[in-house]
Amino acid sequence: MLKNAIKLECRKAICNPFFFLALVIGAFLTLFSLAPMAESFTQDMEQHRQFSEEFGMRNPLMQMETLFNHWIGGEGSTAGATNYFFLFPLLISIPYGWSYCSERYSGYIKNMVIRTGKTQYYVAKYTALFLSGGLAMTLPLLFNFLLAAMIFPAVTPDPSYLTAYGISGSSFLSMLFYGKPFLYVVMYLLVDFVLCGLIACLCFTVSDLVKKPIAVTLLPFFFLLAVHYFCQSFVYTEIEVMYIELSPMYFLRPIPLVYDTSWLVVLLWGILLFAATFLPAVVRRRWYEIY
Amino acid sequence: MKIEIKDVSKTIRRQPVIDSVCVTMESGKIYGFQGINGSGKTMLMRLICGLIHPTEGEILIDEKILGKNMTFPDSVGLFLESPAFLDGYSGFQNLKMLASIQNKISDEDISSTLSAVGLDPSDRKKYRKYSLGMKQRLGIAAAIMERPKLVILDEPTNSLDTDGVQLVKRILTIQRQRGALVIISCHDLSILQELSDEILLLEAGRIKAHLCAPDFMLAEKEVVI
Repeated sequence: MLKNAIKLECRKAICNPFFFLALVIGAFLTLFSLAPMAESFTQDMEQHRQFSEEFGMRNPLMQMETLFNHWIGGEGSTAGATNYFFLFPLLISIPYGWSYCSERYSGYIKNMVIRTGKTQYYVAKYTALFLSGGLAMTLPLLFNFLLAAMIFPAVTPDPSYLTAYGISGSSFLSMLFYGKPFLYVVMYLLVDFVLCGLIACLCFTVSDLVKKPIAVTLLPFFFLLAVHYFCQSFVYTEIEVMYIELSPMYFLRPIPLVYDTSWLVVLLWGILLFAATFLPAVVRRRWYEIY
Repeated sequence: MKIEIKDVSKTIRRQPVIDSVCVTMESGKIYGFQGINGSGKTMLMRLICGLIHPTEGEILIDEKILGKNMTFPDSVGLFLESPAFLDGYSGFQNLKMLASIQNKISDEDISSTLSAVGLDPSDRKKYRKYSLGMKQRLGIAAAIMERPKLVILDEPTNSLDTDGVQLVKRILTIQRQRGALVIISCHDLSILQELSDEILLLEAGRIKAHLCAPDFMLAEKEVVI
């Protein structure tokens, strides 16, 4: 029964127009990263070619031009990347964040729970929301990465040019970036998938308090914005100090914008989000009455 | 199936909505709940299908305590208040999705149920474009399609035209014939009198009268009073 309920919920989450809408918006935003990066890459390559012709040797700076600092996750300069990593909390909740709220207040939940049982229904809903959130975040990134791979050379980053990549030895997963960059991308996508899936599940948690599906959908965005504001205003107070990045709006970008993050922060956020979503949304709700 | 409601009370925000209700119901019969708005008909239905829990007393279904030995009755078809389905899917798709959870019935069963309630199974119209009557019929179809042992229908004749009401009567009779325990509520006493084997008159959460088929004329008097 649980398997069938999960299958049904996942189908409802992924085969719905809002999921496609989120993917299209996400993919569209990533194009605003790819286009300027491709243009600057073409100009840089032209300069490298002129350098080679002039000096009769290969420009050593060519090593800087790699797929891994030109895809949306590896660059922090374009409007496309900035907008994508600012708006991602909306993109992850648009596909299915509204679902439980809508089913609860319309009464559809009754049709479901009498067939699945309460726990199974909540677990299925949680799973579907987690998957839809994770996919809505990572699929546009993957789309951008694959398009970028058609344009930029997949040269393994050289630590000599770390200033060009923006990833230092203390950065999260930096060993992978300079050693196995493809694995670095996969790992980062995985981290983004898991954390964004959990962030999307915040919608499920607050649906008991908020009656409007649109308000529920907007919640993760305002929550992350509040966390970001809190970090900027009350945590990162000293300019000289190198803090650890705590705000998901920044550390979910593979390239560190200001501070590096750490495994511990990512892990703690994962545990906190899981506890804040799964416990109230699934475990506690089993005892709730349905009117 | 046998449902025993033993001295059940339900209080919501200190207000008693169901007060010391005792009744026993058995398969193969139609039980009609009658009462004015707020008399507790829907609440009692919610209690019987396990959506809410009694504050006092217990409900036994085949000698298992609801909410303790079982979360919901094993086999229940439910239509409470207004019908609610997914807007972006057709009637058939909506029923198919619900049926896929228990996987008990085939597409043909769903089609025949839709036909039985007067809906076209091949109609691709989305639920959001359904009329009130069509929504009501789909709600009834969802409740009966899996041939549940317990069928609970709250105001099934709302928004239905005369043909629709006749259709509901026919459907309920079929449910009784196949041995289901059917509970319905309806404002129209004549429909209840025509269909029900027993009628429970509810008032302020209490059972004011429990009438069996021969005593139905008394129900009219009770309602008039």
